[in-house]
Amino acid sequence: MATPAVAGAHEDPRGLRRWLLSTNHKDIGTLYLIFAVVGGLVGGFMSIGMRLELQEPGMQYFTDGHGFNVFLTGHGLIMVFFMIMPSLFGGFGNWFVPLMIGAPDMAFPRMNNLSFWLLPAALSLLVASLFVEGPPGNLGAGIGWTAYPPNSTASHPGPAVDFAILSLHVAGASSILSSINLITTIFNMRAPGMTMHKMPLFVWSILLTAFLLVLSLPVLAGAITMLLTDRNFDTTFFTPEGGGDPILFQHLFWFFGHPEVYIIILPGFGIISQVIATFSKKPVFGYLGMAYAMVAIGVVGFVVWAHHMYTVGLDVDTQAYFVLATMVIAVPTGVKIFSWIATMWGGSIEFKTPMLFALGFIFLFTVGGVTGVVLSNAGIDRSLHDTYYVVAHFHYTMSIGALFTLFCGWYYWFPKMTGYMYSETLGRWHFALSFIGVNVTFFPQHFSGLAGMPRRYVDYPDAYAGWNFVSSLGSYLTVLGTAVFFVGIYLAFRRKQPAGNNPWGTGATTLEWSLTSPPPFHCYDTLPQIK
Amino acid sequence: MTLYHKSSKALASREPVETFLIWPHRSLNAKGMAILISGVVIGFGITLATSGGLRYWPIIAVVFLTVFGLVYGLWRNSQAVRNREIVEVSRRAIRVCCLSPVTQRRTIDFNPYWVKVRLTTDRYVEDRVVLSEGQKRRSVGDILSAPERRTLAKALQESIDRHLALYQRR
Repeated sequence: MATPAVAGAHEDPRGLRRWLLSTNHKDIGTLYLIFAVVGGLVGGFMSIGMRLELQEPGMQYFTDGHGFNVFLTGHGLIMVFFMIMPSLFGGFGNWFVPLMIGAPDMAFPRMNNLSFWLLPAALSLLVASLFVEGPPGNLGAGIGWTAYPPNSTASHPGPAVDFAILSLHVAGASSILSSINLITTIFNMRAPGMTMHKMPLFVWSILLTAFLLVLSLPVLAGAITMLLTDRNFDTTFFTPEGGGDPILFQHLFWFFGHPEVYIIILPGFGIISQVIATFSKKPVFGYLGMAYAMVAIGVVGFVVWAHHMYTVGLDVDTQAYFVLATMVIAVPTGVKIFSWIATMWGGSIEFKTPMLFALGFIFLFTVGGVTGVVLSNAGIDRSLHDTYYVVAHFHYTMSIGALFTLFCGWYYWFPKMTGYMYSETLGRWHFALSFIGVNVTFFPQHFSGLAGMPRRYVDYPDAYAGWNFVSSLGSYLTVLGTAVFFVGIYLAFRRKQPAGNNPWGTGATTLEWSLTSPPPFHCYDTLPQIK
Repeated sequence: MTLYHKSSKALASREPVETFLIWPHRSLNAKGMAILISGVVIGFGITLATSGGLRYWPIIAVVFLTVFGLVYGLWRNSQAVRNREIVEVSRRAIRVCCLSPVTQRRTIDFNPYWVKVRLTTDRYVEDRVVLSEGQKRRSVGDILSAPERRTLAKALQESIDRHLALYQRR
C-alpha cells in the first residue's frame, strides 16, 4: 500500500466545542470509548453486587428478589447496549474504519455526532428507571434484558419498564444511525484501489455488524413499541385475554437477540484477525475465507433464533430445524478459529499484550462455542434451559469473549490513538489476572448448571454453595485485573513514552500505521492510492 | 476528491481547449449503488417476510423508517458525485461551470489576459483557489483538499500561460 500524504494544519477546535460539537471521527470514537468505560464500570459494579450476594446461600445484601432482578436487568442491558456495542462498534469502528479505508472522515459527520449523543440520553433513561416504581411498592425494572411479558407488563405496572423501553428505543436509534453512517462510509468512501477484497478484516467485520444492526434492531424497536402500547394503550399484542400471544414477543425478541450476539462478537473477530496477523508477522491465513465466514455467520445468525425457545412448546419438526441450523453456525466459526491458528502456524510470533488477549479470546470463545453446540440440542437444552450452564456459555462467548477482544483492540491501538506506549508489564499482569479471574468465575458455573442451579435467583440451596463461592472469588480477581488496567492507562498518560508511528513493526500493514501517532486531526487530505 | 485534466480541441472554434473536471471521489459507481440499494431492499423484504413481522404495524413503521434512512443516506452520499466543476481554458476565455443536482448550472467567463489565479486563506478554508478579473471573482476546487488546491492553482496558471504563449507564437 502506498504511503498517504498527510494534510497541513487546519484550525483544530478546542475545549467543549471540540467534544460537544465534534464531527471528527476520531474524537467521536474517543467519546464512545470513554462512554463505554463508564458503562462498563456501572455494569461491572452491578455484577459484583450480584456475586457478593451469591457468594453464600441466604440473603446477604439484597432485602428481596426484586432488587437482585433490578441489578440483573441493569447489568445485562448496560453491558450489551452501553459497554460492548459502544466500544467495539462505535469506538473502534469510528476510530479505525475511516483510517483503514483511506477516507478523510465518516460519510455523515454531523449524524455521527448525533449518534453518540443519543447514547448518554439513553443511559440516563435506563438509570432513571432504577428510581421509579416498577412492581407495586418496589423501585426499578426487574425484567431481565429479555423483558418477556407478562413479567414486563402485568407484573410491572409502574413506569420503570416504560423508562427502560424508551432507553432501548433511543439506544436503538443511535445504533441504526451509526450503522447507516458506517455502511455508507465503507461502500462509498474507500480510497482509490481499496476494493472490497482488499479491505482489512476489521472493516469487513464492522460492515457486517452494521448490516446485522439495521436488519435486526427495527424488529426489536417494533416489539418493544408493541410492549409499550400493551402497557399504556390497551392493545393486546402479547396478552392472551385479548387474543394476543406472549410467545410472539419471544419470537420477535430473539429475532433481534440472536443476531445481537454476532453484533457483539463480529467486530471482535475483526480485531483478533488484525492482531494475530500483526504479531505473527504473516498475512492472515485464508483472507477471503475469513471474510465470507463472517458473512455466513451473519446470514445463518438470522435463522436460528428459536433455539432460545425450545421450552415454549415448539413442535418437533421446528425444533429439529433449529437444532440443525444452529449446529451449522459451528462451520464458519470453525473456519475462523482454524484460520487464526493457521495464521500463527510458522509465524514469527511476538507475545505482546494484544496477542496474549487474542490467544485468551480464542480459548474462551472455543469453550463457549463447544458448550453452544451442546446447548443447540433441543433435548439437552430442555434440562439445561435457564440454568447456570447457559449463563456460563453466553458469558464465555459474548461477555468475556467480547471483553477480551475489546482489551485486545485497546492495547493494539492504544499507541496509535494516544501516541504513548503502555506498560507491557502491567498489560501482562492485566491479562493474567483477567484470564484466571474470568475462568474461575465462569467455568464453575457449568457445574452449578449441570447440577440444576437455575439462573436469576437471589438465593439457592446449600448444595450449590461450593461452586458459587469459587465463582465469586473469581469475580473479585477479575476486579483486581481491571484495577491493573486502569493503573496501566494512568501510567501511560503520566509517563508519556512515545510510541512511534508503528510500534508493532513489519506485521502491522494496514493503512492506519502509516499515519503519525496520534493521527493528525484531519487525515488523508489527499487520497491515498492503494496498490 | 478527484481532479481530471485533459486537452482537446473545441470543435466550433478549432482552438485548443484544456479542461479541468473536479468532482468528489466515491468508491461506488452508479451501477454499484443501484445493486447495493436493491440488495438492501430485497434483504429487508426477505427478512420481514420470513419473520412474519409484516403483520404488526409497529414493526412495519420502524422497518420502513430504517430502510428509508439507509437508502436515503446511500443515495444522498452518491449524489455528491454530481457536484462538478468544469474549468475550460482556451486562448479566448476561461470558462468555469458549476453543475449540481440541486441548483441551476452556473457559468462564468474570464479573460485569460486579465485573469488572476490566487490562493487565499481565510478562517475556514486554507489555500482556496480564486480566479478574479476586476470585480469578478469565483473560487474553484473548494471540495478539494488544501494540497490538491495548490496543485490545481499551479496547473491552472501553467495552462493559461501555455495558451497565451501559443497565441503569441501565432
